[in-house]
Amino acid sequence: MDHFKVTAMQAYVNIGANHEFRLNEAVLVYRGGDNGAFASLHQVKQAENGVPYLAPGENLTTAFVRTLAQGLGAQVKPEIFPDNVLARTPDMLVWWSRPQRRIMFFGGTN
Amino acid sequence: MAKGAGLLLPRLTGVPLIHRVVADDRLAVMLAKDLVDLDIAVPGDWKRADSDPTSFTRLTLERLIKAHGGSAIRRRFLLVASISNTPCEWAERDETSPNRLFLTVEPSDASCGCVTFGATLELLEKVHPQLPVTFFNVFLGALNRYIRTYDYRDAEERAETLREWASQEADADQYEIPDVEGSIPPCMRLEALNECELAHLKDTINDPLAKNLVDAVLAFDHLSAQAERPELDDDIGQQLSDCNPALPCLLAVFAEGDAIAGCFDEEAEGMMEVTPEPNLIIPFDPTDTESVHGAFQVFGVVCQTVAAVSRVIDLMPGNDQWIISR
Repeated sequence: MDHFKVTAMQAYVNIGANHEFRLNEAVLVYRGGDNGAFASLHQVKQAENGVPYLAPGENLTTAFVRTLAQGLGAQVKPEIFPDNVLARTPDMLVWWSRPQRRIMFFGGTN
Repeated sequence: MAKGAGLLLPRLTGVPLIHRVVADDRLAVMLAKDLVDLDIAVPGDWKRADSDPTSFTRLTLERLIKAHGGSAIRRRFLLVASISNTPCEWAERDETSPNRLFLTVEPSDASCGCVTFGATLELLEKVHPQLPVTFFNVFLGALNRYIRTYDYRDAEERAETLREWASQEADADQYEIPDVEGSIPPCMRLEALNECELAHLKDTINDPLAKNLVDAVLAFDHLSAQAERPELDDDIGQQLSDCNPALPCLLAVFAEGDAIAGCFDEEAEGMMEVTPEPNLIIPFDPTDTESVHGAFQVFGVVCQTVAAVSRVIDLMPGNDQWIISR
């Protein structure tokens, strides 16, 4: 069997609904006035001292852009709404409520 | 000198590498506080953890593993320890026990360590005919308190199942079932010595390696008994009801490639068909300092026990293989 270095015992902690987002890639957009624009995709790496740096750029593929757009919510998964929700888009939620008396508070303009 | 043509890549110095979305860190904060109060955690790790209670707890867990024989553990085992709201990855959270967390231990990447007993049993048989089976039983008994070992008894059960399946086929005689019975050394059929007999015999052993082996296995049996495996209540049993049995962390064979290894290889193909339950599940309540203390005390004993097993295997002849990390 090959000998390889491993940690003593891997340790994971996952308590509550917490999520970690790690910087993986960066998109650089270059504009040239009337001459259009282009973008490059860079992996983010870490130097030995922990300082992040950009790896050499790669061509941006349409597949990457599509995945990015999906991640931004351009594609909404099917959902079941409560009775009072009328419509939902990635940027908008419309709901209604029955007419009723409500106590309202108004902040001072000063 | 004028700048040449080309593009300059922007520097990322100072750019945060990680963003965390924290929806509910109440239990993580309480656990981190308990760990500091109990002197299990090192307050200085708070800075290393970027003031994140989850990372702080992970660093504490890593520190604890290292202090309880981490380097010995990694020689022979690939394990993962987790703290989570659920007892296994796919179990649903029990909303009736909102403060319950689970400290679990299971094999990493479905890996399994291996130990060969053959040469050790031969050596011990020269000392006393009943010593091999005694050594085997003490070894496996101490380890099975916390983590699962696959041995000849599992293999016999598997071979029996295979025989039953084969008997229902038209060409039953065409199936080759591993000969587990034939792989078991005759000395394993004898009765094991009891505790008093073993203690008496131990002082009379002249062979240095045999004496070392018996001393080491008794020491790790004693160590393993320092804690008790926590009982799991019916609610936790319900959460694990759809799980497969725990994956073995160690395969105990008598000779390399014997029928026991054959049964293990065959059975291993289906072990991951459904999510297996962890080898060890320690439920605890981070709002109760005593509960946290108890959970981490058991975990420390488990780490020390696994580390001691790894050291005993190092002593056992014929086990130069299967070293994961030197």
